[in-house]
Amino acid sequence: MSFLQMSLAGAIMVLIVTVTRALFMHRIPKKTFVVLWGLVICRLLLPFDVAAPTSIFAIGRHVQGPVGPSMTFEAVDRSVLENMRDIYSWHYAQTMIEEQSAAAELAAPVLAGWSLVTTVWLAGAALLGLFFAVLYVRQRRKFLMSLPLENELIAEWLQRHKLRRRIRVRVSDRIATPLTYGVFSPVILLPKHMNWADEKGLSHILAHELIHIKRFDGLKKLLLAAVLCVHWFNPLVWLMYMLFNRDLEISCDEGVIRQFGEEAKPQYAITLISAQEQGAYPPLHNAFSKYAIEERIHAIMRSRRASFFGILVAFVLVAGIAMVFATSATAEVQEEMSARIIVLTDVSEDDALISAEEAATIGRVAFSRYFAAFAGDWDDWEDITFLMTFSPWVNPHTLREWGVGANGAPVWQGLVVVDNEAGMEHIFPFSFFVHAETGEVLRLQYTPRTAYALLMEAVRLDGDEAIRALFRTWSETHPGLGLGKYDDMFIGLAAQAVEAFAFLDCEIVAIYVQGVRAMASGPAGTVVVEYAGGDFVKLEFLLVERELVAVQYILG
Amino acid sequence: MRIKLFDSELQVMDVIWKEGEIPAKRIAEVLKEQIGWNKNTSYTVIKKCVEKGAIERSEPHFICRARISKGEAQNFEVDELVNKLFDGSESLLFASLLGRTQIPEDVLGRLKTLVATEGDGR
Repeated sequence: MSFLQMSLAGAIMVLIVTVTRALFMHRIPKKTFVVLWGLVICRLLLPFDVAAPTSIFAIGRHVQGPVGPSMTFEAVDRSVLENMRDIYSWHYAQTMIEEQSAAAELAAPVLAGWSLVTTVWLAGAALLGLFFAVLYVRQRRKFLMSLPLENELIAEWLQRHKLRRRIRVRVSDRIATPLTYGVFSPVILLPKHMNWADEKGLSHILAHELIHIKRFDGLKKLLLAAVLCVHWFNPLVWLMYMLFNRDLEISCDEGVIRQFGEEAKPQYAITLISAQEQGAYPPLHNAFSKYAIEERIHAIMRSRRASFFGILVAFVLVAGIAMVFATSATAEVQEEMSARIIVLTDVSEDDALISAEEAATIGRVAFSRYFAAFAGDWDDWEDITFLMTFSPWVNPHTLREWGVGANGAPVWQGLVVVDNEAGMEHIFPFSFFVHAETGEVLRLQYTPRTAYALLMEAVRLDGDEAIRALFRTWSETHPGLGLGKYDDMFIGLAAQAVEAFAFLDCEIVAIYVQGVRAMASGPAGTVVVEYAGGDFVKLEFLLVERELVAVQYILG
Repeated sequence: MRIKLFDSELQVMDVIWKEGEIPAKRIAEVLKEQIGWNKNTSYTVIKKCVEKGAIERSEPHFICRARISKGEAQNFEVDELVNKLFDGSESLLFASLLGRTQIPEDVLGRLKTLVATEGDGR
């Protein structure tokens, strides 16, 4: 799940909790809202990565290595393969996608597009983080300059309220409202200019601050600020920041009322209002928190002791919203997959900046140079033709081995065909890749002939018949493998792999054979599945001991 | 000359008025004992007093001497400093009883009425 999706899912939850809060503020225990905000924060911070076993691409790295006749699957760690069996679950598909996007980030153009967004995001987060850090350090330094308090009432109160953490009460002439700082050795700081004669009010204030200490609200506020730094671009997270801070207070007020009893409500409310009056702050333009005190007073005065029904509603709400939170992960993955598919289908042959002819010319020059290096001059260059195939993608092997050709970086694939002296056309076992946008020769390679025979066959044919034809050819060149088995088996496995995509909820139009990878000693196939609406998914198969162990990546 | 000082700064001045000339290190020791400040806090406050012109310091040993008498020192009033970017925003990061915002008189009046009527209604 990407970070933006986390932020979006979090935003939706903020809206849900905000509406819930407006509807039930006076009817259910205020603590409920604190719990709900906690869930939202989890959504915003936890990526919901399922720790999947080593991915198929890790296997790929073992197995493929340099493609050569001596490769065997024996090199693959069995235990890894065991973990791979459950390829049809979405966890697995998700792992694939993450591999895919990790691979995509390797490609320079993709990276360049992202780095600007990432830079802006990091800069914003750093700026806001710096603001909070400076604020924190300055205020803490100010609090440290506070003075001890000689007050019998408070000394006695401290005697009665002992926690495992030692609480201190100090006084400062630099603050206007009582506050608490310090998580592990908490200090209740009282403003010098407050109404010290109002003993009842003082006991309310101390009770209020003690509840903050017991609940580690200071820590919650710091965590909340951290979340805001990370999600600074999300306006709904700012809304949450404001409302969560309010709800911490409202929930704390509720605790005070529970402690002092319903009849203490008016007195407690008046304590808050007069503390607000005494506060010497000049008006600051802050539209959001302007009437926070109003909401608090209403919450105190209007709320009744939560009924059984209210508590029930609270539980249902928490459970319901927690469920939204948990299941959204699955939904997001599906969205991500379809989104990726659509994006990747954008590339077509028309988008190539280099034409097939130009690519062939580039390939010819590269090929002649290369050939001259080991075979001397060649007189009959005119007899060579180049079959150019456009590939909006290249397989992950190409990407990994050469660092090019990720999705969205289309290539021309050229096959060198030579008319030899006898006038017989044969496929020369050379091929090359030309970047369809830059014209760069990405790779010249020598490949066993049989692989190309298969490839050409596959290009010519479509559908199930192509698969059969493919394996007919394969079995002719590899007599030991036997036609019938692999033929049916492959088709069956293809169907199973396609099922793995069923959760995308798309109608499958057709299955095309794209090609068979030239794996010398193990069948590995590539099938392109076309969905209604023109989306494509490419599935790659890897067979180990005639079992499908791994699959697929997406492109279009 | 009258200089406005915070309580914390007056604490430092008290030590100096009592002792006359005294090294900063000694002030920090006294304040640690009296009000539990750590060394850095004491030095920060001493520095502030020097900036305000209440203390004159001389090397070596950072000897501090008062430049104003007890009568010339004045209490600081809180509202003069809060209208800065950072001050008065305690509620952002710390659990404070109230937010930073001043509430208009009429709103407070309305709230008081609400408390009175709701309180009676029970």
